[in-house]
Amino acid sequence: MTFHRDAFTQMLRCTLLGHLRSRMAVLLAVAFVPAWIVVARLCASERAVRFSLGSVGAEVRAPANDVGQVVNALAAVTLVTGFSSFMETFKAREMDRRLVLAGYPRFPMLLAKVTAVAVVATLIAVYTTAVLGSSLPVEQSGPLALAVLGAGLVYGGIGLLLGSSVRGELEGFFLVIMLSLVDTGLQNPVLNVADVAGSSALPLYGACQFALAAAFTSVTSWSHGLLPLAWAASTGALALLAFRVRTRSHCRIVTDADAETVRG
Amino acid sequence: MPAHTPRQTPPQARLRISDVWKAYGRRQVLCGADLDVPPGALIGIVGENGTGKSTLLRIAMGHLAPDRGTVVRTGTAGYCPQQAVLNDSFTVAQHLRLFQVAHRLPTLTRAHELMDVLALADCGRQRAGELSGGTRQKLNLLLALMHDPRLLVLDEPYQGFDWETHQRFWSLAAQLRDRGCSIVVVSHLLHDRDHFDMVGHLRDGRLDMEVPAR
Repeated sequence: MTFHRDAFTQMLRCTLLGHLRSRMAVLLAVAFVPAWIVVARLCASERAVRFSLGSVGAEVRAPANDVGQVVNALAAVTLVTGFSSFMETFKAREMDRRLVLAGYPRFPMLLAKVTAVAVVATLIAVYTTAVLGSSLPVEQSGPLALAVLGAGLVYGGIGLLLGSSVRGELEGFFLVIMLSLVDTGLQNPVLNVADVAGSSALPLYGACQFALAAAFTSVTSWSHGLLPLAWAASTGALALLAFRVRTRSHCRIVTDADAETVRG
Repeated sequence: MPAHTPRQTPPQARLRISDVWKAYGRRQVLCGADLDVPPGALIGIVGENGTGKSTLLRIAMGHLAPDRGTVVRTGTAGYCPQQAVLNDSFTVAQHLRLFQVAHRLPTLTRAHELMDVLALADCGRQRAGELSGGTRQKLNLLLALMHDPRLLVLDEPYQGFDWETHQRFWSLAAQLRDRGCSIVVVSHLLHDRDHFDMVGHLRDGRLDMEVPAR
């Protein structure tokens, strides 16, 4: 047990420091998130729009640029956590494989990586909620922060999965960008006036519904708030599977006990 | 996984590679290669570029699956890949701590001794991404040696070493061999052949073993 705890703690410490040392990810988090929120504030119309919100079960009325700011904040968070998680996993995977083949336990290693993603997503969620709170009147800050955290966890999990499974760096970047673009585009009620069938199956659906309800109503839709956790758990489990396949040993290792049996 | 049931391993072999075949697409690289590594042997693997030396070592360490044939290892092993496999974001000290966990080592005493031998002692706080090519290779080698394994598999471990470190590497290899460690080294250098007890020439996908002339 102590061995697994040590393995988890060491890997968590190193991975968190690795995230912090990634200047590009830190710059994206600090500068891109508020910049993308400001773009929505300045570029979208101030007129009120009426849209149907599944998580509330009713139509909601809010200024278009406020809706745009919330959706843009989620888009920025998905890109930052998706990139950061993908890059850290992708860069580390040969070394991780070497560690596992040397005896490092897989599960604490991956659990540490998931925890590091959760810590990064939490920091970004607090920061993003503070920026949103200073830019528009938010009805419920706590649930909004949880929704942003959910978006970060979902794309952090996707980054982890892609980092463990794709062959090239460019493929991973492309998939994170395309998935985030499609997902946030289809979840944005200002852009997407018609209900697109299947958009509720996309990763950001739960977090976006939860965030819009928290920002513009007094309703807290916890069932939608749990959807990102289900997504994060699923991508984490798939990442573990991909990781297991990548780090398996292809040769037979005879222990000392086996060798004694052969001698006997 | 092995393609068929392995033969019974002789107790003395630390590594037994039997009838290993490997192709990349249509290019057949290994065609029934065999290698037995007894305790306390320093074995060199030589061959022209692209003959499959690194492939053979990766298969020996379980990093790559053979198309056919078996690999059986006994006891602890250390592997130094040809290209340094490190995490550029981590410091040298963090690498050591992670491998300390992997190898379940109570202390890093041996690692620190080896850092002195390899002239790496002052680099603990530096990140792997900031190290020179030769120093990265020293760390790459140190991670393979730090747990005093019974079998060492080294793929051109001294790339980028200066002459003095190169010489220190060979005296370290001789000490380890004398303590019973089995060592397999891929080498391109003619003057290295004197260090080996046996040399395996990889030709046409098979290993021909010979004792080097002294």
